[in-house]
Amino acid sequence: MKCSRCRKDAIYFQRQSGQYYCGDHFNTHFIKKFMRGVREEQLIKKNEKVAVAVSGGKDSITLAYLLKKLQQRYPFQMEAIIIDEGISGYRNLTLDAAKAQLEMLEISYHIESFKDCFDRTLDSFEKNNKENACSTCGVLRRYLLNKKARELSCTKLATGHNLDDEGQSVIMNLMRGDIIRFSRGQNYYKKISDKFVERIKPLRYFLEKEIVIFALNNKLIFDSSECPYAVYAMRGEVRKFLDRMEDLRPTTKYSLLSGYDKILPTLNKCFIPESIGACKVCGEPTMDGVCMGCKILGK
Amino acid sequence: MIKVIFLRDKKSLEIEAENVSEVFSKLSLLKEEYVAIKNGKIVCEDESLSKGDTLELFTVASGG
Repeated sequence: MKCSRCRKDAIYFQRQSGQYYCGDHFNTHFIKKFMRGVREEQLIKKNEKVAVAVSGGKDSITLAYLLKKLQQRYPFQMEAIIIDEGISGYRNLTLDAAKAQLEMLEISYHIESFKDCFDRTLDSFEKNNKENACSTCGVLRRYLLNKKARELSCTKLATGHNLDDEGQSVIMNLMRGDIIRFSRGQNYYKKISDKFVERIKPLRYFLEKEIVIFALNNKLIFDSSECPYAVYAMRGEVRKFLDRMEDLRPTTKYSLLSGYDKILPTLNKCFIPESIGACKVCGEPTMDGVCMGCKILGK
Repeated sequence: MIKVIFLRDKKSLEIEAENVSEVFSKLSLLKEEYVAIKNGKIVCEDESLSKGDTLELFTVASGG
């Protein structure tokens, strides 16, 4: 098939718009959409300092690449944070990819490891409870990302969450009956505690498949392996369901997230407290007396 | 016959198909799950296939 714009060979058919894109026009479309999103949502302001969470996978590598491009348009500072959870046979591969691509982009980075910060790796935490690995990893990773971004005096923490991730989280939180998580938006963290660095997700309206195509098309260095703990997570089942729905009814994922975004302000008002306290053990923000990080660490 | 290679699993098989969509449907794969690469180039699902073509399938989902 040919590109709808220039008649070169197409690499992607966007089902929701009915457009075919060649490599060049796909890049133009993708970058334009990114820049427009950042501008319209005012995600990054001039001269801000932004921390970008980089795992070495296609989402965070694409995000770092696009933020570097954004820096050519107006000045802001950027530092990358890499979390090494200590997952043998997996994290070493993604770490190598992250370091290689960040060095190529001339983005300085900081590596924070579970081993150094908590004296344990994720593998040692969850030896006998692999089903729990994703939630432990998520809590401790977010804890370290927020702490490091704050230490670096960053005013924003950018993560590579995509449309698929976001849609899956909406469904998972609802299925678990976790109304507090369901009602949090990305501005929630800023809103309820000064200790939270505001999180931004500039790729949250990009399909995961489009991000893979962008990363491959631009020959970005990324690792595409799957975390060995992913098979134990509920997310895989939800992903399959959403992929099936998208296959049957293109734009399902967009509709899910844009519908959710419309009700989010109301959910915020109903279920999210205006402020929260500090953890009795570590001083980090929490709704309970002791934060989830410290609970997991047995403090 | 078309040679189909699953890049993540490093598994391959041969199949009769006239286009990429037919490969997906014969193997019960979802379009959302893979990026198709024909003879080294990324292609759309309606790309036609000929005898001797190699179709690599790049898994979309990765990480955790």
